[in-house]
Amino acid sequence: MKLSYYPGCSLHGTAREYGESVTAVSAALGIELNEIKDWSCCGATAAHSLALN
Amino acid sequence: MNSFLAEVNEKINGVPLQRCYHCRKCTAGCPMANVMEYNPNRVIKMIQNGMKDEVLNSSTIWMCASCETCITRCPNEVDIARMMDALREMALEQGYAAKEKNILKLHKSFLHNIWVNGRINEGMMMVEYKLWSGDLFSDVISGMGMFMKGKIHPISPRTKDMAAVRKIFSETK
Repeated sequence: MKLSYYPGCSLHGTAREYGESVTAVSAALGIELNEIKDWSCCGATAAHSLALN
Repeated sequence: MNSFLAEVNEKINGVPLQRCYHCRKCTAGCPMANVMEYNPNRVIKMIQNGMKDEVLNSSTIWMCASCETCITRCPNEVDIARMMDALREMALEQGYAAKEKNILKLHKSFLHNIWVNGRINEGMMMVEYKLWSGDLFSDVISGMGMFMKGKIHPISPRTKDMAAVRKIFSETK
């Protein structure tokens, strides 16, 4: 099975262990993860806390 | 003039705060309640009592981590996380000084990083935050540890379609 996959900024950085476990668990379950092309940041807490300016 | 309660309800544009019957489940589950000036339940009571300056000047609205445990547990579907968003926006719009200045600076560096790259490079964001806040040395040791574990990269992939990202910024101002 193929699934589209949105890792978000942290899974490539400070939370890389989550990305690694998701990939490993998915592989064990026979799921192929395809990272969404050219994704952007979800904005997280900061984006709903305030506008940039 | 509208009461503070009506003003906040209008900004929340959802379940009105009068629906809260003060069971305090939100506060019991809140991971930040122990460092908040007023706990989430008390903030609702203060809004109901019209204590605008106290609420908008409080550290609470900045300490909220927006984890949404409160709204997940609220039996009356009062969206407290959204209320905190609304209060932060009101505080900034109406010229209240953010009680937690560095949290505001962290949010600003976060958004600026997205504006530049489309994604967060956590290392760059932290450098920006440290320059803006002047808080140069906190967490440096754990930062080094994270770098050694490959969790912080000097360069990371950017979003290619930056026009789309900038459009989100301009449309949500």
